[in-house]
Amino acid sequence: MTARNTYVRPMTGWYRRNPHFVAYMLRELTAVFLAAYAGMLLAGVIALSRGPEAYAAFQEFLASPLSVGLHVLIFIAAVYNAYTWFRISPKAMPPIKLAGKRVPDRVIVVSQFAGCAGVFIVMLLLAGGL
Amino acid sequence: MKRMKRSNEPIFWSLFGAGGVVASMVAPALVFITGLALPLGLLAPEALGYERMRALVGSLPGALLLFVVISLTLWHTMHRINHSLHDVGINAGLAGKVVFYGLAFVGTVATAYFLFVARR
Repeated sequence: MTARNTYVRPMTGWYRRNPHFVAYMLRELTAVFLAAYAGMLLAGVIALSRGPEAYAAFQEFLASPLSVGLHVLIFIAAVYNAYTWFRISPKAMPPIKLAGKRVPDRVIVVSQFAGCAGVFIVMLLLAGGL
Repeated sequence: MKRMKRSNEPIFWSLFGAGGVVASMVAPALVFITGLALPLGLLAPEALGYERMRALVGSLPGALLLFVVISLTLWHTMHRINHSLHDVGINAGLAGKVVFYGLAFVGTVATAYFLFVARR
């Protein structure tokens, strides 16, 4: 049997071919930053379980320029991930009916953004001691 | 006829979905508070100080909130990273599942354990 010489379309750098693919890959990339943040919270819990000195060292790390820079990236990733999640959720979940009529996608999307903003304000107030 | 093997994907997808809701609703606010507002002085240092965090973890709702946020965010992100490997040309298959879901599992157990220790 002779080796076939079929054309195989190269796939390297496929995500640069179309702006939708770029947006898709950026969204997938947010997972790396969110995972890092989950690890950061876990590190905080571990520090807390070890006592006041360990927790103070953790807080010192949070105040370092490296940490602040990292958290700026994590914050951007978290906001972008939330934006894509809220926009896609009406397509991913079963239709919600109110008084026999289907709730329009736009209402679902907007109410999620409002809910997220509400959570933001409440958590800031709670952290600040009201 | 051989019966088709049941897929375990729904379990991981459910955790991914639940984690997506938690991550998108809570993460922006939480990242801003712990990672930016506090170090930049927009919040007082005592706001997330040792005493206050001990009190938060000591309360059942506070401990449960932290557990849910950390573990579900891990399941969400590990699922997504595992599936993204294919997009960049890596076909990890079962090994990818073992590594990434394994990490999420270890992180979940560790979170529960250290929350338990911090509550004592």
